Amino acid sequence: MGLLIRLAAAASTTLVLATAVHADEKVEYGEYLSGSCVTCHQLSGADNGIPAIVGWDAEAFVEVLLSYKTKERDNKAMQTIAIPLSKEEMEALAAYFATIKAKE
Amino acid sequence: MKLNRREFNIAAGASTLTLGLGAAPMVFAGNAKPKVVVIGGGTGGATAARYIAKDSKGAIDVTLIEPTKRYYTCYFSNLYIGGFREYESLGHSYAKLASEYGINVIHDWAVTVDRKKKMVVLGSGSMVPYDKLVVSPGIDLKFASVAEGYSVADQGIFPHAWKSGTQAQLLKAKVTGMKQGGTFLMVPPPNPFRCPPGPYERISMIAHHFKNNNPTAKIVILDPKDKFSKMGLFKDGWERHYKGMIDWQPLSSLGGLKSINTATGEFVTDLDTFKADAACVIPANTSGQIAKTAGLTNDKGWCPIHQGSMKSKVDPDVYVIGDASVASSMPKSGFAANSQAKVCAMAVRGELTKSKVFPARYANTCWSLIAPNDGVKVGATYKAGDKKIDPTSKFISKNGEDADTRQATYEESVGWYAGITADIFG
Repeated sequence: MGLLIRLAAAASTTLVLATAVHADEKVEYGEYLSGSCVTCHQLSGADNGIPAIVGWDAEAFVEVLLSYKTKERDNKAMQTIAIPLSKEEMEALAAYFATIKAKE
Repeated sequence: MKLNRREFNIAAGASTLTLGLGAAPMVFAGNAKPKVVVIGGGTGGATAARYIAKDSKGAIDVTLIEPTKRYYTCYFSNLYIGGFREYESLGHSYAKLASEYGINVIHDWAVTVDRKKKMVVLGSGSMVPYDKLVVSPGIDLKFASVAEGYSVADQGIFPHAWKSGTQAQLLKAKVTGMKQGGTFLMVPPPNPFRCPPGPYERISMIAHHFKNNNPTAKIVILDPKDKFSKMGLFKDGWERHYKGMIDWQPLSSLGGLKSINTATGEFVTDLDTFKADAACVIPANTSGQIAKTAGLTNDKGWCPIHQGSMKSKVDPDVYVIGDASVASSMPKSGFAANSQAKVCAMAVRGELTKSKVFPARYANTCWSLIAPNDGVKVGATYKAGDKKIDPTSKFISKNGEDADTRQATYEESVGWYAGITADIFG
């Protein structure tokens, strides 16, 4: 039970952190856009065949999405996702995912 | 992100015990929270319920009506048939939706909807009022449309397994129990149907089983369609992995399927009669029945919706998502239902709580496993166009891709399955 309590506490901390920055429009927009990311890139940070993207540095996040958009990086699914995204949308996603802590 | 419902409910003075049928969280007197009822606890409905409950942070009362107590996904059921997954790995509980998100999960059937009174009538006789209704009933099968001699009475002999659960287990038993050197026959459905590549992934999985366990078995496909999703990829894969085993024939070249004799296993077309030792017959699909009794369907049996919100064109207080909706150019798939559910949830919250509504974005990816570590995919991103949902970019696997790419494609699908089921059920 101890582990569960610690996990719940970590999750609550994450929730509080996310709520505090929720006033930020970029994060709110990013959270909305993330709907199509989280079926593959789990919010828990679990990593089964698809890399975790939670808690990344926002600039690095945008760089990676841009490299899919330019097809510099290879994955077809990610290219398809990145191509219609504007830089503003990439920044919103980056801002949102930066607020999420992976569950240990 | 999980809202800690225990903390919220305790603060609000409500009970956190949900005991299942009929038990709703107690609410304090004078509560005027708007009510959303979701009919159907499958991929679309459960996602919608969770997102409305989670993102409204307790401001909306959410009820989910679903007859089954454990949801078995249709997606990945082919992998179970092929021996790549255990049956129980397809099953998911509603417990977290009830206990962590405060959703009133009622295990019952919605038998009718009184849209004037805004009330859902349950099989048990209870009536559930709504301010907004989300209908996500999946499909029903038009058994009478297949051929003379085939009806719902025959699904126990030649299963469709086009709804998961018992039928998937039955089909697997039919495949593994087929005699050595026998013929397995499939009749796929006509367009439009849920999971366009599904029947052909299923053939691949059955062929894989036969290759290892029944190498002289044959597979015949009598298709009401002249082409199918990822046809080039499947045919290439079948040639490479299952050479000589699979015979796909369009029914148009045989003059159509005239009759099926479930006692003798004979499938009679105009030009030829095929004898099956085991078979999978997938009838034409239509919207789940409740969509019809609720008056939400068009003359083709599907539900027209506004592409920016998934709101029904028939009733401004009703939304239809998933397979039952007319959401072209999105295919009917679990991934699409989950995507549509999020747009719907945002629109519903916007109407009820004046929360921000962003322009609709949709996505879909369909992965198919052809053979061990040989996976292919097709997908697209979408936006709400002027007349329908339009793709903004697309992709599809290509023949000749190297083995590493095909393996990575398969592994992505495994990651997706874990991700989407966590996204739906918490």
